[in-house]
Amino acid sequence: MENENGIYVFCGIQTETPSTFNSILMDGEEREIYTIHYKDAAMVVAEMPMKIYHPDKDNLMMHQQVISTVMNKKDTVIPISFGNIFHTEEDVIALLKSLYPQLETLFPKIKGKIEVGLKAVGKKEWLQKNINQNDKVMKKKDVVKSKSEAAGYFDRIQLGEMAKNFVKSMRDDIQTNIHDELTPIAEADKLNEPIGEKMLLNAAYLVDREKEAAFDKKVNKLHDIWKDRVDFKYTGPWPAYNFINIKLKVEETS
Amino acid sequence: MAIQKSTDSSSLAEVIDRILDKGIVIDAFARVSVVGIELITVEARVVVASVDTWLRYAEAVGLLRDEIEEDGLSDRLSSRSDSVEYDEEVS
Repeated sequence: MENENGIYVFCGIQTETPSTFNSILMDGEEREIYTIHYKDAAMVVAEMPMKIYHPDKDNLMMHQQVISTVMNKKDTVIPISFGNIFHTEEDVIALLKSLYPQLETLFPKIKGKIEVGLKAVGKKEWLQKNINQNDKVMKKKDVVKSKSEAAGYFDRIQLGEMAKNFVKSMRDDIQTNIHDELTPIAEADKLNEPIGEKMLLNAAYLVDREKEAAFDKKVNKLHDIWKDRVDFKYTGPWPAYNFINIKLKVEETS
Repeated sequence: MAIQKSTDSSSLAEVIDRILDKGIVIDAFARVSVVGIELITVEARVVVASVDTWLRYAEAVGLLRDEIEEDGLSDRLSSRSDSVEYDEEVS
């Protein structure tokens, strides 16, 4: 078991032509990146030691790096989550076969499209300035200040709720003024839960390569408008991670 | 242009946010053996939402450390902490 090699899968692509991509260094050895085929669907794979791959920084970046390289060359990339390794190439073909009906419908939908991510995080000073303008909140703040810690217990809860509602209203505002401005240029969009209290937008967009420049431009335009109030984190191009959701499980056949 | 998108290593949090639980996700058991076992699709939603994020898991096990416990895989499937902080520096 220890020295056995397996087939690590990175992503799926649409092609009938066997391809290779820049090799990677893994466990001190150079690993060739190649394809395994079934009909017009292929898996981009590498032969690597059969083991559990921990999601540490190096391993995660290795996975992402291969996908980036593939994306530079291919226009129909279906991302596969991190850490999947199979015993043999036959196993990967079996996987392709079982996935094929889905891949077939997916290919035309994501061909020539990329995912970009946009997070908007409110600047603390701006959030503070805004909430300080809210009389009700300020009054409650004074009440909390005037009472002892025990006596002000419920007031503090109410103050917290007010703060939460305030952030919610900011998020709604950002959704209208940033997100809604971008969706017409995107093929699809997805709002994820903001991470942390100050994040006001956590979105992913599926963008046609032909509209990529227009989308970038729009993001920059919005950034110009908002940069004093929020920080933008704009990332991509990613494969359509947020727009493909296929969960596979096994069932034993008896 | 004022801001340009990228996928370089400075955005590890973004990478984590995507590659752990999005795209085609294969059950841990499925990777062990495939031939002779029927793969069934539990969910196949395309261009729709996936709610869960394993970023919490990633945070819970201190992902930014270089090594994780040998039995990390089972945790990966079950453990989730209650909260996660967004600490990454925004450039």
